[in-house]
Amino acid sequence: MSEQDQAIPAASKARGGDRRGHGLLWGLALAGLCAMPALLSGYELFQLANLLVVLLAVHALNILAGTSGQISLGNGAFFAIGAYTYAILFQTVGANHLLALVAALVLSGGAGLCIGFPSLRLEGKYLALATYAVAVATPQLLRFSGLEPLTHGSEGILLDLPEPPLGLDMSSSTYLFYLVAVVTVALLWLGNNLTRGNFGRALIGLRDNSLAAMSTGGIDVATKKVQVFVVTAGITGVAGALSAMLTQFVSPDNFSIFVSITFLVAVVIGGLGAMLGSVIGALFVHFVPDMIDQFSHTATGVVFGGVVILCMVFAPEGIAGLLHKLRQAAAGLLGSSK
Amino acid sequence: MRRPTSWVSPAAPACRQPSWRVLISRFYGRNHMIEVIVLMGCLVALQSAAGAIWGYNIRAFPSPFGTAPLEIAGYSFRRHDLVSLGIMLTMLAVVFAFFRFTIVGLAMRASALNPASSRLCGVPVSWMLASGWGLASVVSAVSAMMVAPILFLDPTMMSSVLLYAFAASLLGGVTNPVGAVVAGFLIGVIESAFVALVPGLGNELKLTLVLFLIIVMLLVRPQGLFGEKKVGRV
Repeated sequence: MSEQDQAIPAASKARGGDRRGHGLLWGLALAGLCAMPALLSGYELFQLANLLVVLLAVHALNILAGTSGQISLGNGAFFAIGAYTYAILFQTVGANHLLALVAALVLSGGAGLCIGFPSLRLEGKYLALATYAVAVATPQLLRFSGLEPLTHGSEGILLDLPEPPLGLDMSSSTYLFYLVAVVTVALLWLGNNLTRGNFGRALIGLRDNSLAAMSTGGIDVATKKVQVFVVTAGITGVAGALSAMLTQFVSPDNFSIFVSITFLVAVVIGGLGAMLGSVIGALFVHFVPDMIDQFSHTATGVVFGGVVILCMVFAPEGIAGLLHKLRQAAAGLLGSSK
Repeated sequence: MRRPTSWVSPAAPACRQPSWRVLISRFYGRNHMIEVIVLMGCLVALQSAAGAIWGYNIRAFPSPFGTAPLEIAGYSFRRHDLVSLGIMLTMLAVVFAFFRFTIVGLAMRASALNPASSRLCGVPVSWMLASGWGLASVVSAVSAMMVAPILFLDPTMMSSVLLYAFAASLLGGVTNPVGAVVAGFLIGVIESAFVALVPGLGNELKLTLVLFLIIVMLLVRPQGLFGEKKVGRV
């Protein structure tokens, strides 16, 4: 294995082979999710919907960081913009909730453009710092008294559940689950398709060697970088809006820098550049803090930070990368014993 | 209440050199993503540990230099501001002299710039980088002690300082320490002017202003005020 190969997360290489089964897999996932309201209790359904929202936000960052190689610590800001756009349009203005959702997509994508365009002159750690600045400044901006008629300052906004449209005969919370499931699966599918094909290969090219991508690949690196930043910011915004729908509350305290940190931790722990990594990462950040909390209330963060560091020491390619390696090792053992 | 950090901070560099040997050196220079995540893990763990031991309440942090105001040329200054300014300038001079005039400083710079050649010259690169790491933490621990009486003490008090520091280093040019110091003062002045000139608004939007400065700077002069323009060849 050459050095160039090692730089590419193992999981992203594994992609080509099992392409045929993918359409089926997506369909199965959606069908499985749609069967959930019949199987789970109200609280479990709520938890699952939350998990899906986290997965969507994590996968958006995974496309940005894993496929195009740009580290962002600012995705919490886009999450917040999406949530607030939805909250203001739905609750204060009284717009249709689907319309508000689309507005959240557009606005957070726009914010991604405003922030991405200048920040993408930076690379690696410096880009992480610039986006960190965005995430740190966001809660203060949301508390700003000049915007209080819109954002209600530190108090935040309480939200009603959206009513099912077209006289659909189901409870609001069941409808909300279906909405979250459909939107999440659709955006994940779109995002996943984006990382294949021409666009995806261009992103991988600029991640691995932007100079070569520019000179011999003829890829417009700057434009591609901004494009992927905007798209992922938009998806993160939708995740934020969905999370606002679910929790029925937005306030500046919910969008501290730790939201962004959590997303990035999920991506890297799970594994860069693959759907499986996003799923594992989302499960990790959704369940591990709660599990730690059960045996130690005071120092959840200490244990969480420690677990994160240990994961990086023992599985620098993420858990998905580790699984891939194990599978290869197992295949090697089976092959040699034949 | 005694000041809890005043004894922790000098201990920080002592912990940090081992932390380099154990953790950072594994990842240094190989993969930015993992480096960032490991450091974020440290940040979360340390902040949470401080919170678990001393609580998350914001506390007053008495200045070690007393409270009596100083009168200089008819102007009244807070004693703490003047003394900490003096300490900071002294520290800058010492660090600068260390890197410029001592052999260890030279070895440290060489290790950062070109590890392979330095190793061939017999420089213990790993130790040099670790010491650089320790030195950085001495400087930040001192600056934290100086800024604590102004910002008050809580586990996350330095997050906004980090923002200012980043803005200053961008404004001054990322690899230019003198530029960063000048830019740091400049940002302080711009911020104070903003607060004074835009009453009511300024105080609430300090961080937003800094963010705005960062973005404008990146758009207009990404190499910083004092940086040189890099020319890449394709």
